[in-house]
Parts: sequence; structure tokens; C-alpha cells
Amino acid sequence: MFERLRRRGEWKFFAVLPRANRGLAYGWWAMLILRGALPAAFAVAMGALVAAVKAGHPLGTPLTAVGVIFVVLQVLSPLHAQAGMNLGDDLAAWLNDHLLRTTVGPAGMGHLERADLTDELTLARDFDLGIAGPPMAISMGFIASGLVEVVAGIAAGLVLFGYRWWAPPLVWAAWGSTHWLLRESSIWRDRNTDEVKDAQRHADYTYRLAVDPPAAKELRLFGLSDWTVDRFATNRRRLVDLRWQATRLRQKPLRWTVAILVAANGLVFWSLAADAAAGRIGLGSVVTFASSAIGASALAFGGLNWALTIAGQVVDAVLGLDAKMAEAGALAGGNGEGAAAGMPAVEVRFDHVGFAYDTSTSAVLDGLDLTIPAGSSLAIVGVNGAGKTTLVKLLCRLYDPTSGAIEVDGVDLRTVDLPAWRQRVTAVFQDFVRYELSLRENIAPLGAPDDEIMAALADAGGEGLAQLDTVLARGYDGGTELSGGQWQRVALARALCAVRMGAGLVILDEPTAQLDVRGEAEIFERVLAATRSCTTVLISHRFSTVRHADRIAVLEAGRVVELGTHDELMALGGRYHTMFELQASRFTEAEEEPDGIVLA
Amino acid sequence: MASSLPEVELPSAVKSLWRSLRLGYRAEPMLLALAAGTTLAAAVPDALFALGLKFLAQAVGDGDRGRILFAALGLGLLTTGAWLLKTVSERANRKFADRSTVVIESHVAKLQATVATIEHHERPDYLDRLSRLRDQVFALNHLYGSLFSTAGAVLRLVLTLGLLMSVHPALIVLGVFAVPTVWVSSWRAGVEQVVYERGAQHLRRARHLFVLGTTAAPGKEIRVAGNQQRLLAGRAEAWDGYLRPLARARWVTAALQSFTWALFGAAYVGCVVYVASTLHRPAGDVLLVLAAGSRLSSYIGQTVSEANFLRGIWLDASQRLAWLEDYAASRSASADAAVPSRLVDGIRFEGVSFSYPGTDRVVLEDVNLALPAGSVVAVVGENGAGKTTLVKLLCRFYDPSSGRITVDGVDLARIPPIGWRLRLAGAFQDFFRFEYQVRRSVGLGDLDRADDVGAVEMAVDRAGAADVVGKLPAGLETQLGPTWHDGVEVSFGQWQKLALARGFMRDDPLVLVLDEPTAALDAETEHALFERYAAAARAADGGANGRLTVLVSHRFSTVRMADLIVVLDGSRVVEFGSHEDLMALGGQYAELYGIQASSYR
Repeated sequence: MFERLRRRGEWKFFAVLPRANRGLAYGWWAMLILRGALPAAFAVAMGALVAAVKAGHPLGTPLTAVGVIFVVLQVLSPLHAQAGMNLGDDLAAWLNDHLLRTTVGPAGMGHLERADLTDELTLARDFDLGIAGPPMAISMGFIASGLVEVVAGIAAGLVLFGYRWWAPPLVWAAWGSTHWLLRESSIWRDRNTDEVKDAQRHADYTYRLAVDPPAAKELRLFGLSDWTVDRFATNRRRLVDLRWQATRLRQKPLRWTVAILVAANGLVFWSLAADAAAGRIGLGSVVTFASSAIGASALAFGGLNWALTIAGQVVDAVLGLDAKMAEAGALAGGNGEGAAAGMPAVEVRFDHVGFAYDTSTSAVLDGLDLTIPAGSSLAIVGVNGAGKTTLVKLLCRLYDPTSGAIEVDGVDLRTVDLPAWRQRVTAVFQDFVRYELSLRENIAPLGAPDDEIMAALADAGGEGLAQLDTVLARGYDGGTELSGGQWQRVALARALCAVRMGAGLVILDEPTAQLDVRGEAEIFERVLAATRSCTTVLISHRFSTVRHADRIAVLEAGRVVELGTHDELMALGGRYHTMFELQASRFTEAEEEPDGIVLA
Repeated sequence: MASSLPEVELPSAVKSLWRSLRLGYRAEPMLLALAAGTTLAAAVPDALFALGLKFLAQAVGDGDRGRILFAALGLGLLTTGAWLLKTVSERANRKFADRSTVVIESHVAKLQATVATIEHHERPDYLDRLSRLRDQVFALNHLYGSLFSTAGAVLRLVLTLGLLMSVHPALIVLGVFAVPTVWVSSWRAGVEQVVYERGAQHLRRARHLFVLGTTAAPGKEIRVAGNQQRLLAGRAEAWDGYLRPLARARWVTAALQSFTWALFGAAYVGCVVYVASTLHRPAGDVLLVLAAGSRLSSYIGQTVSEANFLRGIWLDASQRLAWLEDYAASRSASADAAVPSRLVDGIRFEGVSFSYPGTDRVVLEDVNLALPAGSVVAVVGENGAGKTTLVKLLCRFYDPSSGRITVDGVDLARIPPIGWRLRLAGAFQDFFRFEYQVRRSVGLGDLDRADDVGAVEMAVDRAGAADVVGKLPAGLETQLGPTWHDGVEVSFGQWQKLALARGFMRDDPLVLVLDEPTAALDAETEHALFERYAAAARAADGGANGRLTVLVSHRFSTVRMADLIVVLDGSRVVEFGSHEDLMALGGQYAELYGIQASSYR
């Protein structure tokens, strides 16, 4: 029983509150209970005061009691609301922090790409955006008001013990029964069916599509606004109707509820009237007990309300992801302990490496053999989907091979200490991160001396882009927006800075795709110079760039099909030769274009 | 200038509220009436408890058995009745809120999606305002409920004040003492709002870092860089920068609010003393003052907190909504010219200058170009040289700051943007990943033929994306995006091909804009593609509609195939002509071309 309770989201929500802010959480609870209990005390004081007035007794004591209770009640409510808002924000921060720890913790990537964790991750990530429900800071107010009513109802009932022993259980049972009888109408039990989730996600997606910037251009160019809005409205209405259908107020239980309430209240008030008329209880008591019997109705209005249900689901999702993500994101090979200092000193060797993502059935890499001598540069070319980026991901150990092994200086990568290995690696991916932070932090996310940063930036051809303290995004004080090409220089500088700070393996995944012509030719020379001491792996579609590498590997269907220097591969007259000629031909006069190039 | 600063001001509160209300009324008039009616009805029994207690006390005082029973049972019924009315009104309100939410959210989405320009998506002060509106739409649907409850609370207030004044008219003073609480409550909402907006950038950064850490794509780099701890610390720090000042402001204003309530409490005690000790009223009257007065505070409390929400969040949201409505309306400027069915002469830039609204930097300066119908025009230039901006102006995502663009002599500003865009097609470097089935994701490029599988297949073919589609498990029916049921993830390059296919959906656009659409594609694809669209464009030249192709690229291998090449340097056009002309000129183009070509020799 207790275990079942502990597994409920609501329980977890309350358990987490003190962890978000201990002092504030206890203060919030204390104020909540006071706000619930004081009205009952007020009823007692009110009775005493009325009795004193009637009897002509001095009013000092009961009047003071009435005054103090009243003033405290008034003062508490704004303070409690404020404590709730701040606590809600603290809780949101705690949950965000917790989720962030959970997601950045695992060494691998699987946990972020697994489809079955998406729903939970979305809920855990976006709860405070006000889409699925109000933000935590606002929810706290709703949650508190439900609980204050419960406490008030119980406290009012307790006062009735002074009247008759049976009165409190009777009013509690009557007002409490409203929750039970109308339970179907108050809670949407089937809110987690596929149909509901599907409607919800479609609605959210289309809404974001319509209002967020990324799709703005295409939405307008293709005239998709009406279509998007219609789709959104349809899905949203489906959702609302589903909920309404599930929770509509049903006639029969409503009639029962009214009958029970009339009977129970009739009994209590009739008994009060009879006792008052017979003089068995005085005026003061009649007033106190009648007020308390009325006050007990708070029990019907209070409870664990919808805001708590949603908040509970959020907490449950955030905490639940801990274990799931740790498992999904763990690397199959575990963490080794071998030293990585100076690696790679001899070579990096792919030994018959096979790899398939969970989500796709076909293998991306299939028996790949490749040796990269330390200190040399290797370019990898191949059509889209040939497995180039996957190869790089394995090299960073974001995944482990499904079969075969990657060996660095003869040591299986899986036995090397992972953080130490990654310190040896730096990478510029196609979709590199654009931190909305200062230029300094963009170039050295882990920090570096300013002169190293400036030097790295200069190596990447980005001197004068912005001040080191300038934030590289609009919407921040002094922030500035960079163009795609400027960003690429920043990303390159990031890698070059890492090299200056000790990285020995440089991975460049389409590093100059967004640079202009003068930039590309000039930058690549400089980048190669700056990484000359390193082992460099370069992915590019541009053969003008690729040919500068010491060796070139042509990847096709998850295997290396050609390997050699530019001249060797040109002499070979295979795939590389074909592709190079294709691009080069664009620069020769049309009449000289070689015939017979057949596209696959 | 396209930037119209007066718009930055939010519309007035009352007007905004009125407009939001009208919106709800138009959406669901019956439900609105029902919700309002039941909420008001529920207010009545609530206010009558004090009266019932007074009758009971009087009857007990008189020892009248019949009246005691009557008063007591009346109270019992009142309790039940209050519950029933409240339950029914809650449900009516919820249903209305649900329905109106859909309408309001659609309205907001529609407003934003239909504004012709995209300035509001790129300008920071507008972005702030919009992001709040977007995230506060949930609040807008509570607007009505909140308004009705406010009305209900006011009704209770009036009834209760009436009861108090029935004891002695001077008791109206309790109402007067409630004024400071109301005043402070509206003041604090404004104060907190100011503090919030000042900290909004910190909140945005906290969110940014949080999203970086919790999404897949940046996860690669973060792991390699090993800056997980920095991310955590950075998020926490940014969040503190947002919350600390806000929390402090909240506490200060809450303390002040509490003080006004204490003042009211003192007045209440004074009134009780006045009635009991000075006026020497009977116990029944004292009880009425006690009970009604104590409820008065909770009704004022309700009114104040509802009004607080109303001001702090709901009114704010409705003001933003009104602003957006005004903004959207102001953008649909007078367009009285017809959309041309074909290009005869071509498109001219006449002294066009442009700066992004809200910035000082001139991106384009005095650009004069004649782009003849039926030609393929390439735009080259260094980064930041305004290539993309040129395209944006052509698509009318922005209007020129000065000068004009003419289409066959007609000012583009006079052509309705929606109609104009129906005659455009294209693809951008920063395309959007439409996560639908492939067929739809591509088909969206021409909505009218989105379900025409043949048309989609042709577009896929034109974009050389047949290999992408062929590799997908369910071909055209494959759901894109791994987060969807049975959805698959495709690579960046594959997404780009699909974006291109979308751009090629329309059969006979007047203008085809290609803003670096092949940056991530491999050599074979790029080659095949360029051949294809050059051929298609030339075929169109053969007499159909005079299609103009505008291609932004930094790949000179691609550029040289164009009929005309625009070379931008800084914000100005420095060279304009065919490849041969420009090579012969020996200027900037020839130099850049030489650099790139030499890589292949």
C-alpha cells in the first residue's frame, strides 16, 4: 500500500519540493496548514465573541482572538502565494538541472535518440513552457489552494467533535463522497492512450511550426499558414473533445451526491436546531458549530487537483528518466581505465568494424578496415549516407562498434579511459553548436587563455569578428548575430583552440561548407598548418579541399573502397577519379568537358 | 524606413481586453453566456451565509423553535446549493475555456504565420514579446474564467457590503480600507513585469543551454568537448540571473501587499468593536458583521488575486495579442496590383537599400540591377555581403528600407505578398525539417498538388532525391523524424535534398530562388542537380513564363553556368555581367574564380 503511494507522481512531487528549496518548502507547508486551520479557530473565536456580547461579558479576550486570527489570515495569503511562486520556480530549476544532469551524464548518445523515450523527455523538458499545463510557479498556487481547502474542511470538522462525536465523521464522509462519486468527471483517466498522445503531439508540433522562427521562410514561400493552422486546430479540438467526452458530468452520480449532501447536512443542522431550541447548547456554540458545519464543505472543493496531477507526471518523468537514460546512453564497451596520454602516437586502426543504429535495420558500417597513421591527415569522401559521419562518431566513441574493434596504438579503444580519450579529440560537426554565449566561450567552452583564443580565431580567419565578450546571438545585451560562414570560422577556431590546449586528433566534418571561395582556399591551408602536428580526419564533399589531405579514403556502403593520395587515386581511375573530374569539369570550359561520365 | 517604432508600444489594456473578449464571444457565444451566468449565480448563496447565521442567532436569542429549525435547515440547504452551483459553473467554465483555447491558439498561430514579413521572427524585442505570448496562450484561455470569477467576486462583494451597511451605513468604511490592497496589487504586477523583462535574456540563455544539453544533435559535440559541467553551471548561473531579482521583487511587493491586508484587518476589528461596544448592537448584528466582514476579506482577496492574475499574466497576454493583431494588420499594406501571370521584362532593383529593422548596419546599399526574364542569375560575394538579404527582399520577407523593386515595371510593394509567393519556389540553406511523411514533407511545396503522388515523385526526381527516398523503409510513405511513431532519422544532406524537392514542387514559378541549397551535398548530386535546374530554367526561357532563377552560391563551379552574375562586396554591387564578361574584366570575380579553379588543377 505504502509502496504504491510512493510510486505515485503526486508523492514524488511533494518529496522533491524540499530538495528544490528546503527552507521555502517547509515554510510553504507551514503557511498552508495555518491557512487551512485558522478559519476553524476563527469560528470558535467568533462563537465566543457572540456569546460574550449576548451575555454582556467583557469582550477583551474573544475580541483579541478574533482580531489576531483575522489579521494573521489576511497577511498569510499574499506571503503564501509568493512563497509558492518562488518555490515553483525553484522546483522548475531543480527539475531542469536534474534532467540536464541525466541527459549529459551518459557517455554515449543512445538515450537522446531513442524513440521510446521521446514522450517522457518532451514532458520532462518542456513542462515549464506552459503548453501541457501552466508553468510550475503558477501551478503551485493551484496546488496550494486545493490543499488549503482540504485542511480547512478537516479542521472545521474537528471543531464539531465538541458538539457530537458522530458529527465530524458524518460531514467528512458526505463532503468527501463528492470526490468519489464524481471521480470520473474530475480526472481524465485515459489521458495516456495513444490516441490522446498522438493528438497532443501533432497539435504541439504544428503550433510550434506556425509560431516559431525556423519554419518562417518556407511557411510563407509555400503559403502554408492556413494549412498549418487548420491542422493545429483539428488536432487540438480532437484532444479537447476526447477529454470532454471522458470527463463529462454524469447525471446519476450527481443525483446521488446531492441526496447524500442534503441528508447529511439536514441531519447535522436539524440536530443543532433541536439542541439549540431545547437550550442544550448556548448561542456561542450554535454559531461555532453551524459555521464549522458550513466550513466543512471546503473538503468538497479541495483536493489533489489537476495541477498537481500534471506536476506529478512531470516529476515522475524527470526522475524516471534517470535510470532509463543511464541505461540507454551507456556505451556497450563500458569505460576502460587505460591511459590516453599522447594518443594516437602510432596509428588509429578500424579493424573490421561493423555498426548499426538501433533505429535502423541496415548496417551503416559493414566490415570497415582503415588505418590512420598518427600525425597524418585523412580525408573521407563518399556519397550521402555512405557512413562518413558514423565513422567519425565511433572515433569519438559516441557509440561502440557492433562488431570488430577500433584500436589506437594497438589498444582497443574500449579499454581506454573515456574522458581522457575525448580530451585527445576535438571535432567540428556539420551541425556544430552555436552557443548563445560570448565569443570567448564559443571558442573555448572549457576555458583557455585569451591569447590562445585570439590565436585560434586568427588561425581560423576570424579575427575582428567580434569582441571576445560579445554574445553571439541577438536578444542579449550587446549581442550580435553572425552569418553562417562567420559561425563556421568560430566553430573551426573552437577546434583549433582545443588543439592548442592539447588535443591530438582533429575531426572536421564539412568544415568549410559555408565558407566563401576566398575563405575556403585560404582557411583550409591555415587550418592544415595549425593542425600539422595532429592526426586529422576530414570529411568533405569538396575535392578542392580533399586533395590537400595526405591520404583519401573513399567510403561506399559502409566500407572503404579506395585509399591513397590524391595522385594515386587519380592514377587509379576509379570512383575518386570520376568524382573529382566531375567537380573539376565545372571549372573548365564547357567544350572541354570530358564525355562519358556516367552518374550512378 | 520599414521599422516603425511606435508599434513597440503595447496597445491599451482596456481595449486589448475588450478585443480578447470579443474573440471569445465570436468563438462560442452560448458557452460564454452559460459560463458567465452560472458563475454569477454561484455567487449568490455564498454571500447569504452571513444572513443565515444572523437569523439563526436571532431565533436562538428569541428561543423561537420554529425559526431556529427554519434558519438551521436553510443554512444546510444553502451549503448544498452553493456546492452544486459552483460545481456546475466550474464545468461550464472549463468547457468554454477548452473550446476558446483552440480558437485563441489558432488565432495566435494564424496571426504569426500570416504576417507577410518575417521581421517579427528576427527582431529581438519582438521575439521577446512573441515568445511570451506564445508561451502564455494557456493563460489567455483562463482569461474568461478569470473575468467571470472577478465578476462573481464583485457581486459577492456588493452583496456583502450591502449586508454590512444594513447594520450601520458607516460600515462602508471597510470597503474603503480595502482600496489600498487593490491599489498595491495592481502596482506590484507592473513592477514584477518590469523585473521579468529585464531578466528575460537570462531566462532565454538558461533555456538555450538546457535545450543544448537535452537534445540529440548538440550532444555529440558536448560529449567530445567535455563541457557538460560548464553547461550545468552556465544554466544554473543564467537561471539565477533571471530568478534572483525576480524573487526579491516578488517578496518585497508581497510584503507590501501583506501590510495593506493587515491594515484592512485592523479596520475590521475596529468595526466589530464599534458595533459591539459603541453601538451596543444585539448579538445577531455583531454576528452578521463578524461573518460578513470576514467573508468580505476573502471576496476582496478573490477579486484582488483574480485581478492580479488578470493584470500580471492574462491582461498582459491579451495586450500582446492585441499588439500582434495590430502588427499583422499594419503589415498587410495596400496591394492593388495584380499578380503577373508571366514575366516579360523582368525584375529591377531601383536604388534599393536595406537595414534590418532595429539595427544600424546597412546590408544593401543603393542596389540597381536589371534581372531579365528567363535568365539564370547567380549572386556571389563574401559572407555577410547581403546575398541572402537580396533573396529575402525578392520573396518580400522584408520590404526595402528605401528604393523599390519592380516586376515588369510594377512596384513589388503593390503586389499582394500571398499571391506573389504562390508564383515563387525555392529552397534555403536554413531549410526547415518538416517532420511528416516524405510525400507530405515534399508535397507541401505546392499545397494544391500535395496529394498528387505523381507531382511529388517528379519533384523528388528534379531534386535528385530519388536515392534518398529509395533507401527509406516505406519510400514516400516513410515518416520523417525519429521522435514520431515509426519515424526515421535522415542525415543533414538527405534533409537538404528533400528540402530541394519541396522547392521544386511548383511547376511553373515566375521566380525560383535557390539560396545555397547544395552546401551539404556531395559532388555527384551537386553536379546532377545543377545540370537539371539550369536545363529546366532554360527550357522555361523557350517561351513559357519567363522564369527568373536566382541562385546564391559561393561555388564558382556552379555560378559560372549562370547567364548573369551579381558580385556583391560589402553592401554594394561591384560587378554584374556574364561569366565571360567578368573574367574579361579581370576584377574581383576573376580573382575569386581563379582561386577556386586552381584547386582543381
